[in-house]
Amino acid sequence: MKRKTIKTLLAASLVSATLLSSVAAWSGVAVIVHPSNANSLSQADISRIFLGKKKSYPDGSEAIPVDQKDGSAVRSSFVGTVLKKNEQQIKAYWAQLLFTGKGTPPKEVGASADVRQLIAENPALIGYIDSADADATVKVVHQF
Amino acid sequence: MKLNQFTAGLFATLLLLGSTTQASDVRINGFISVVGGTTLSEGNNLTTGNKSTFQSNAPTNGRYDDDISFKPDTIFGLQVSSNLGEGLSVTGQITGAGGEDFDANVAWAYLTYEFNDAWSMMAGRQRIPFFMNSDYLDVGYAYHWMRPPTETDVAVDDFEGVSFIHTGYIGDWDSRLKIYAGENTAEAASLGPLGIKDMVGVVYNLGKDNLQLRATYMVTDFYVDALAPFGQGPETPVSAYFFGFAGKWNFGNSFIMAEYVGYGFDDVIFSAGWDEYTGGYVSFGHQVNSITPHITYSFSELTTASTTNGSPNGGLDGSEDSSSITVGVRWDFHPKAAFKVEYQTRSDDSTANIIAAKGNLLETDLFSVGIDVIF
Repeated sequence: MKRKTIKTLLAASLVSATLLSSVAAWSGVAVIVHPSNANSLSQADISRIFLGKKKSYPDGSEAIPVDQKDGSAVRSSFVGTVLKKNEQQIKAYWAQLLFTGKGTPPKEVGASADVRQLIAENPALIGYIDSADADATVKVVHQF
Repeated sequence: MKLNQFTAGLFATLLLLGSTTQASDVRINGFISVVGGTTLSEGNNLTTGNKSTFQSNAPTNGRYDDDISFKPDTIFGLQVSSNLGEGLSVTGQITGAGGEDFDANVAWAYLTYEFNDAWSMMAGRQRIPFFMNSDYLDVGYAYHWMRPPTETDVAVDDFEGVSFIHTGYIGDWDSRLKIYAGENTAEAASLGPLGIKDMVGVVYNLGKDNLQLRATYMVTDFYVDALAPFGQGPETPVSAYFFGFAGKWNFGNSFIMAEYVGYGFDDVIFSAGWDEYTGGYVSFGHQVNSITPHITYSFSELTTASTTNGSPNGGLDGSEDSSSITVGVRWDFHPKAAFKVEYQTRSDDSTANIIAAKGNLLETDLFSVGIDVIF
């Protein structure tokens, strides 16, 4: 009985280790929010929040996007896939909005670990991190 | 509007806010474009005895001739904005343009109030949204050209008034409606002081992923503030209209943008004979890593009349027309800066009687080099 439990545990940890390593190797991007945020967000919702077109979640609560540091690979991937722009296009986009009162770019807060820590503390925030850095302190709402 | 006590006070208040509230509540941003250029040959002889020049910026009347100049397109701007919470924010932007000898000018000074997620209001000094690029005309970093096509440029660029903005969605499309009203006065190179009042306009934008469409219509009273018979004066303005259609499409690393605009007056403008104008452009660019070569065709046609209500007005019956080909390269050599090189060749397509009377005013080749920075 005891032996069986140990075997099961061992098998389970092997499977999860394999899963984890495959996630790490794949190294996608996860869009994350605070665990208490119950909204389901489409890619269009996420894009609108990060482009300053939408300032609240579907339930009406305030949405504050946070960016990773300029030049990070995760940021390039997010901007390209979700916002459908390249680095130069997104910079020109924000220059157009910033100096005409239409909006301000999201705050830049460093790398994946910094973003995860901030989001774990603030239910209004939404960010994106390396999938491998996602843990129970945040909730993944979109992955690619 | 030159910097006066009111606006100086506004900025002092903004700066004070910066020192008394959380630092994160006040943003200071800026931009600078340093551009040098020259026409590639001596200007044409005009009947006034002067040589023709290239006006690169109508609001500031920045002009190039065949000596290298860094003034016409060089501009800096400093913006201070503060979010006061609960939907209220204030923004001020001071610019200094080489075309105006870098005199400080309050380009924008307004408060924004968000009624809810859909409706907001901007009250104060702001940009007249004539063209797709009007709002960020001063911010070279925001577009691929050295300057938006000069065929679509007007002398009055700001107004004092109010705008109501509605943002929403139609399926996958983002919808943005702006209704604005206000007035302003300006100084035009050829006509002297002029003004607009009782202006009411509407702009509608529809966007989806990488496609943007825009339509605008505006009506206003317009006058040239000179002594009769050379101007209408503010008490006897003429009615004017403005319309525009524009679109921009990004596909892969390429883009196409196009715009077509027109304006007209219900009475011909004194001393210039202006009657009706149409202009536009088509521009194509393709980005290869940080390098974006681009090409643009632009044109304008301004019909003029010699009489107003049967009385001579100093103008000619004809059409002042031009068309240009512009080729250039934008190089994003730095995360906050772009280097640009551009060549424009413009031909004067005006009617023969206008060329005979004024000379070949619009024919020019211009070469310019510049750097745009945002901070």
